[in-house]
Amino acid sequence: MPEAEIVARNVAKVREFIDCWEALDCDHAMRCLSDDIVYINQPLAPVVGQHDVRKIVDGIIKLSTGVHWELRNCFGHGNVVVTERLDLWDFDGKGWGLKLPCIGMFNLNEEGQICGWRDYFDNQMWFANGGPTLHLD
Amino acid sequence: MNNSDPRLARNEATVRAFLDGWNNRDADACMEQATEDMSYLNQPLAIIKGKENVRTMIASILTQADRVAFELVNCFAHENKVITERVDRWDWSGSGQWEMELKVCGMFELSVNGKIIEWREYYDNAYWTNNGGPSLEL
Repeated sequence: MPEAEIVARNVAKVREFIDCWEALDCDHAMRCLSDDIVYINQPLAPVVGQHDVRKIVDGIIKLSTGVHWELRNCFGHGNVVVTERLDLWDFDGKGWGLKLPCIGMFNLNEEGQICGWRDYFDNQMWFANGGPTLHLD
Repeated sequence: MNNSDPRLARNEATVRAFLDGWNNRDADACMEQATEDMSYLNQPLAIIKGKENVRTMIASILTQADRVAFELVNCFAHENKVITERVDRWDWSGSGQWEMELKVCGMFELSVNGKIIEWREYYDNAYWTNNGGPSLEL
């Protein structure tokens, strides 16, 4: 497959993953991820594998009444996709209580599934504004 | 570097030269890559606007560091943007150890003549502050 097609496929997969968050659809989100997914909220410890990552994703989605990830930039190179985002979160049904500036880096495998996801943001802003836990207890 | 579009390659080279300025603790070399109206935003802090203000900020950080090494995990360009995913290593005191290893993403926007017009950094600010990082506000 030519590089441009691989990049387009990867960008589409990342956008599909983001749409799952907006739809609060954990099952669909998890189908975008490989079995050996490595999910890192910098600088927290990596969460590895479908089973553990599902716990985190499901835990966040269950506590959210509305999610909108505004994409400021989204582009790829090789097997990497960058998303520069403003993540809007409604945790209590009262509107966007948290607007989190964030960059997410994604690695995609040969099959076009997301196998690496690293989000960079200010943890204090997340937790001080209602963001739930991002690590397994 | 693997950019067939010469503008993308030029923009990526500008950003790499800017980061080399940090590695060499040379604020003037950094600012050679900046536009007069460059903005520098450390999320979630206040934006710093204008070349002289950005120079002041960068110089004040670099004077407090004995050694700096920015490792590029990823660096690639698209249109007028360059993304850098990095591990920034800092030796503040001259201990010979990396006293902070900061995981960070920097998004750069470049002008038509290939200079940096905006730089937005995404990282955990408490991690920076708790590991010897100096003030990032003017």
